[in-house]
Parts: sequence; structure tokens; C-alpha cells
Amino acid sequence: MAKDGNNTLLEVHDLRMHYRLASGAVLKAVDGVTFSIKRGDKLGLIGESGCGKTSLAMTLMGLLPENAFIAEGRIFFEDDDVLSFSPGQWREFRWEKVSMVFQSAMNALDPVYRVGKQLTDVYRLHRKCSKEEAMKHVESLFHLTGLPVSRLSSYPHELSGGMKQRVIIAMSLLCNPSLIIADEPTTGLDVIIQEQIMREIVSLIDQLELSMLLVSHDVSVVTETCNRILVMYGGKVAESGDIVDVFNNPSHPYTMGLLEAFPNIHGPVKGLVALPGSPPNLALDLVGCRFAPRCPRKEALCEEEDPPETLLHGNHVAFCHFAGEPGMKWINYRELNG
Amino acid sequence: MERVAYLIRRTVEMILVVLVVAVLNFTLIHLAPGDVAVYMAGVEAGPEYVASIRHEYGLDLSLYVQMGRYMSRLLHGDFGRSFTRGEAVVDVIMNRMPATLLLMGSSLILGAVLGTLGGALAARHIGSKVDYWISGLCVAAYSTPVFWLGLILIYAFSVHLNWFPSSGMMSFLEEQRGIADTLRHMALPVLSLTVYFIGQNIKVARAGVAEAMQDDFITTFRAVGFKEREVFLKHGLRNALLPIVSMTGLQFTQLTAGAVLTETVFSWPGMGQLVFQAVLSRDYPVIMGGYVLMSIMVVLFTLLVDFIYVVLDPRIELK
Amino acid sequence: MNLTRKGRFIHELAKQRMAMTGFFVVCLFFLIAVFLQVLPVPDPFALSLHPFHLPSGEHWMGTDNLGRDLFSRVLWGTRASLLVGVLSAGLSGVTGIIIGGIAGYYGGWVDDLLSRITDVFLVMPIFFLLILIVSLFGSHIFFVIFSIGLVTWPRNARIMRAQALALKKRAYVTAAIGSGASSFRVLFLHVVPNGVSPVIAYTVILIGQAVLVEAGLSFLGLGDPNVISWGQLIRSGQQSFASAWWISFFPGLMLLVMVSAVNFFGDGLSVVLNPRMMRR
Repeated sequence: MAKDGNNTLLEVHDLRMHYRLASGAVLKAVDGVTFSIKRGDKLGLIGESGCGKTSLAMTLMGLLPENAFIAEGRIFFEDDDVLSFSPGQWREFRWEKVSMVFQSAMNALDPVYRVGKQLTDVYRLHRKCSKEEAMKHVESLFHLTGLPVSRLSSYPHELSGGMKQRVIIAMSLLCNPSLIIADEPTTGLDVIIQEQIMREIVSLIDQLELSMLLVSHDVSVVTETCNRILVMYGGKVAESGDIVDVFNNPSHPYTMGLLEAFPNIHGPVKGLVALPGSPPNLALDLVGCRFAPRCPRKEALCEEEDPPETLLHGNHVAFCHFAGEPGMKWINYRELNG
Repeated sequence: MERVAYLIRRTVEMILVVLVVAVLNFTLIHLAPGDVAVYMAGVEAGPEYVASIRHEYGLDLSLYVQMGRYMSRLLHGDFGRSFTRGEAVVDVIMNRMPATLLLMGSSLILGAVLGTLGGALAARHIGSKVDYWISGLCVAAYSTPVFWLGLILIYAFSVHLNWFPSSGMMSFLEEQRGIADTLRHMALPVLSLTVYFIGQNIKVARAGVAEAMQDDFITTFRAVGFKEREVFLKHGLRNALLPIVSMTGLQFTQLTAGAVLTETVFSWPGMGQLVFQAVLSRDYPVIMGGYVLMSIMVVLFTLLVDFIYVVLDPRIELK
Repeated sequence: MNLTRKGRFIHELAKQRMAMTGFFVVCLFFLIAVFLQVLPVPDPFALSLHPFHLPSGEHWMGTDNLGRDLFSRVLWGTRASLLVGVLSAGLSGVTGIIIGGIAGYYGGWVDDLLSRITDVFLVMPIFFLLILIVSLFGSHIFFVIFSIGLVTWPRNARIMRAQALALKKRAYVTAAIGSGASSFRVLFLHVVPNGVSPVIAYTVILIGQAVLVEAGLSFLGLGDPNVISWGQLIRSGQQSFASAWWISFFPGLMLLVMVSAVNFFGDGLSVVLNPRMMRR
């Protein structure tokens, strides 16, 4: 429960969300994740595909498919116990407290209705008001996101990728939520627009004093926009903390690999480093550190015992048996790969 | 107003098509073996009588002249006179048109509505045993010969159970006529025709709904807080309407085939039966007229479906 | 497993249960049609002194109005249906592939002409046209086959045209042209074989439709009077349906079974040939 008054927005305790597969096996998509988001935070949730980050985002919105279930854990949003919501409470929660900005690669909009109508429909679902009032509100959001008002009567296929994404952003702001979950909001857009849109999102978040959970596989986007980072691997947290701490002192081998894998335009040209191996099969019963099979510093202990949470500095924690030890300062993947 | 231009262009195209159909038809009939005049005059008629018939009906003129005369009369709405009945073709056909429209229209609408409902239901439970059986039944439905089904229905419901009359459109006695009476007469023929189309429509609707429900925007509208039912109707079903409407447009020509057969089995006094009998008795004006009018009906219907589709799908590129 | 493309295709197809059932049923009909004369069934033309006989041990499907054994007549009807179905669909398919391929690949006036023709045929009530043709020009079975093929090729052509349009931009086409192959060769050795799948799927379904069309024509009395066909049999039992229902019932049932089988197979084929379609 929140102890520091109104400052904590979201608290997730030891969340375990699993999928029941047709074969009878259980896929542990999210396997014991704990974190919190304070007001004004911009938390970057980062990891490879299949690490559970999208599953986590979907759980926060209550958008889980039928074969998914919460095995353990609690989620608190402003002191409300989210996981015990009734369907009616969920419908009030969604979009009012927390909303989502979907991937730009998705067809997030219905092709047969005009964009303005889609947005006003959503707004009028949550607020009792006339069509005109709703339209005014949507117009104001269009202004905010830099969309020409004439576009209200356009169909989705008439808009460019960037414009469509701005509509999605406007849609997420309709009911004045406190938290925006942005799920890979720029993947699929061309590179120049990507940066523009990302900057616009961040500026809106700051302007409206909202909080953001940014789900991404792109470390550079996260380091540029977020103030905190959560690195996930194999359904578990690998490392988390303030961005400055984690960036300067990565303490989990996976994080180190991630940071080296992304080309830095400003710094010296480094070769791209690929982490050898592939993510674990989360349907199996796994023991020990999830990253062990791919880790260059692994030892027998890693494969037997789950790594404990090691507190490094302030908010910065890492889940590695050897976190913080001198020999772990920075693993040079480049040397290892030859 | 792009759409209006598109429709005008399509209408013009279709008018041309109808004219081509008329010409083709005319050519076909006149290429057939057998002398029309002889046929009309009768087997025992003497050569002078045959010649006089030929002259009277302008059959002694060259083919081009005949076609020219026919086409110009056609454009004035004059379809000529029936050889066997003497009445104006237009009157003869228009007399029968309502009956056929009633039959075809009911089957089309019933087939579309029930098919959509059935398909939506199957899509909700996709992959289940129910779905499997429904799909199988649908294939059987559109593999059934409509005339055979008609006979079976007559046997079961008319002869045995006596629930419905077995032929005609209305009762013999005037006191018994009326809407209820016509509905009773319609029941079996419409049922035999509709089975085929329900089968096709369920399949298309099922695929359409299932595909639509997997689209990304369904996630969006669930995320936003709409109830599942609303998401299904407003977004899933709405998008599935497109392939359903497309399919319905293609079914009209199949309907005309079914109509002939059904009208024959049930002695339904419609155009199909009329034109068929005209073919047997070589009543050329009626054949031509029936054909052209039927083509016009198909054209009108196709244009209507085109228009509906354009209204439903804003992505259509109006070339 | 290292399967060739063909091997993979057959493997996928075999997994479709209903489709394979359909295929085997059709094969069964085919075998019956081919080996009919050596099968131990009564003579379909033999009159007997037991007209309108109920199905019994001696006459499995009963007898018709002239005492002929219905079971053997129904078996004989298989020939007409299969012949008409397969040949007319085949004719339609081949014509459609050639014309559609040319229209899509070369474009220009051929393409425009094809579009016009297709439009006309899509609007014309086809069954009526067939009634007209058959009653005016003769009902010999090969003529019926020819007419059905003649009237149905435009839709096949359209499918092929769409494929040709899409495929002519592919790399192997450019490569073939670049290596000096004549456009004719490119069209028929590269474009057509790669684009022919949806045409095949449609043509199989067309077989079922052709069978039903022929049955309809025979039922109306327009079929070939010298050939025993199911539509004709249904017609012969129409008047006496109330008392001797089996005469019309069994031929119709056969029609339903055969056309369903063909359609199940065609559906399975569609799913395998076009993997983007809905599975299940």
C-alpha cells in the first residue's frame, strides 16, 4: 500500500501472470515482477520480444485473453486493488485512469468509421455529453497533438503513419488519465518520424503532468525519454533503477549486452554486438537465473539458484549473484565474440 | 461527389452491357436451326400461309434489318408481341414479374439475414464441434439440387402433413386469397430456394466475422472500455458486412437459375416459368423480352449492391 | 523432413479430414463410372413386370415406372454427372487460364476486351442462356459440356488475370525475360504455373456447380435423352412422387453426395493452396 501519501501511482507486487497452453503446459509470461511508478515518472520497460513486457502491459489494462490467469501478485493503482476489479470497475478504470498508446504498426483504428467519430464515441462512452461537446473536446486534443482539425472527417487510410499515431495519442488523452502505457509507439514508422513522435509524446506527458510506462525493445529511445528503467528477461526483472544509475553502472550481464547492442550515433563507432543464444522457453519449469544459458560469466550457482535482489545505489537494483562485484564492471561482449 | 461520378459511370457501362446482351440474344435465336415462320404457322400450313406469316412478322428481311428494327423498338420500350398469346410482351412479362420478385426477393433477404446470423454465431464458437457441424451442413446445403429439395418438401409438408399447399401462388377460391394465403403458398418454394443461399452466406459470414474479430482495432475498442457486445456489433460485424454484401451481389444470377427450377416444381406463376415455356414453344419475342428484362433486373441489383458496398467501405478506390 | 514443395502440399492436404473424405468419395464415384459395365448390377434398360416396386432385397432402390431397376440406373447416372462436371470445368479452367493469363500479362486491348466480356457474362443469367442454347441448338451431352464451359470461363479468366498481373512483377519473371525468353514462354512456363492455384481451387468447385447445372437442365427436359442422368431420373419420378418417392429421391441424394464431396475437396484444396485463408 502507498506509504508516501499521494505520490505513488502504481504499485506492482510480485506479479505472476501465466498462460494456459493447449498442450496443457503453463507459460509463465510474467514470473514475479515488482515495481512502482510515482507521479511524473517515465518508466521504460525494456527487453527482447517474448520477455513478458507486452504481457505485463496488457495485465495492467486488464486485456488478457481467456487462457491467461494471474497466479499470484497484487496491483495497486492509487490504493485500489486492480486485480479484484469487477468488469464494471474495469470499464471505469480503463481509459480514465490508465490508457494506452498502441503500436504504430497496428491497425489500431477501425477503417470504416471517420477518425473524429471514433474518438467522440470513445469520449461519450465515458462522459455523458452531447456530440458537439465531445467534438469540441476532440478538437482541442487535435490542437494539442498538432493535427489539423480538418482531419477529423478523414478515414484512417487517408492519414499518413505519423498522423495516425498522433490520432492514437490524442485518443489516449481523451479522459485525462494519470498513466499512459505506450507500447512500442514508434516501431514501424520511418526513422525520422520516430524521433519526432517520441519527442511529442514526452512533451505532452510533461505538459499535462502525466506518468508514462514506455514498453520498448529499443534502449536508445528509453534512455532519451525516461527517467527510470526496468529491464526484463525471461519473465523476470533483471535490473531496474534510475536511468542515470543503470546507464552508467549496468550491473546485470543482460543489461550490459543491451547497452552495447544499440549503435550510438554520437559516440565512437562500435560494432554491433549480438547476444548469442535465444530467449528461454517460458513454458518449461526453469530453475536458477533465466539468463544463465547465455551469460558469459555464468557459474554453477547461477543454474541452481534464483539470483537475489542486490541493492546497488538508491533505487538501483539488479538480480544477479555477482552484481556489484568488481569483476563485473563491464563485460566486454565484443572481446567475447571475437 | 466522387461516388456519384462512379455510379453514373457504372450505370452507363451497365446499360451498354444490357444492349450487348440483347444483341447477343437476338443473334443466338436467329442462328438457331429451324424456321420460325414454319413453326408459327403450324405443321399443316401451306407455303403461302407460311410466306404470309413470314412477311407479317418481318422475318423475310435481312438479319441486320431485323435486328435494327428490334433494337430501335426496344429503346422505345416496345418489346413486340408474343407469338403464342398475341398480347404485348411487356404486359405478359410484367404480369409475372411481381411473383418472381416476391420469390427471389424473399429468398435473397432471408438468405442474407439468416446467413449472417448463423455465420456470426458460428464465428463466436469457432473451432468447436458445433462450428464443425454447421460448416459441414452448409456445404451440404449449397450442394443440394434445389428442385429435388422442392419435391421432398412438397412430399413431407404438403402431401403428408398438409401444412402448406403444394403449388401456385394463391388459392383457387377468391374468398381464401389474401396475404396470409400467399404467405402459406410462398413458404415451401422460398424455403427450397433459401437453403442454398443460407449455406453460402453462413460460410462467408463466418469467415468474415472471424477475420474481423482478429483485427487490431478490436483490441483498441476493448481497451477503451466498450462492452464486448458493442465491440462485436459495431466493429466486428460491421467490418464483416463487406464480404457478405459482396457475396450477396454475386448470388443474384444464381437466384435466377434457382427461380426457374423452383417455379417449375411449384407451378409458381413467375417470369422464370414463363420464359422457360416460351423457349419450348419458340415464342421469340417473349424469350427476348424476358431475357432483356431479366438482365435489366440483374443490372439494377448489381448497381444497388455496388452502391451499398461503396457506402460501407470508404477504402474503395473509385477508379 | 525434407519435403519437396509438392510433397509438402500433399502432406498439408492429407491433414484436411473432410477434404480427403470428399476426395475418396469422388474417387469411388469415378471407379463406379469407369468399371460400370463389369459390375454385377442389373441391366438399367431392362423392363420388368414390377413397376413402382418399393426398395427391396432384389431391387435395392426399387423400380421405376417401367419396372427398371433404379439402383443400376442411378449408378449409370454417375457417368453423365462426372463427365459433364469434370469436362466442362476443365474446359472452363483451361480457357480461363489461357485468356486470363494473356489479358493479365500483356494488358492493353486484350485486357480491356476481357473485362468487357466478363462484365457481360457476370450480368447475364447464365442458366437461362444455357436453357436457350440447349433448346435451340441441341441437347447432345457434349454440346451441353461445351456450353457450360463456354459460359463459365470468364470468372476463371478473371482470377488468372489477377494472378498474372501480380506475378509479372516478380523477380523470376524479370530474370526469364532478361535471359531472352520469348514472352510466350515466360507467360506459360513461369507465370501460369505459379499463379494457377486459385484457378484450380475455383475449377474444382466449378465441377460441383456444373453437375448441378446439368441436373437442372435434365430435370427441365433439356438434357441428352440418350444418356441416363440423375436430373432426368428425378424428372421421371416427379409425377409419381407421392406414391413412389424413391424414384426421384435416390438420384437426388446421389447428386447431393457427389456435389458435397467435390465441394469438401475443393474447400480443402483452397485452404492448402491459399494459406492466408481462414483455417478451420
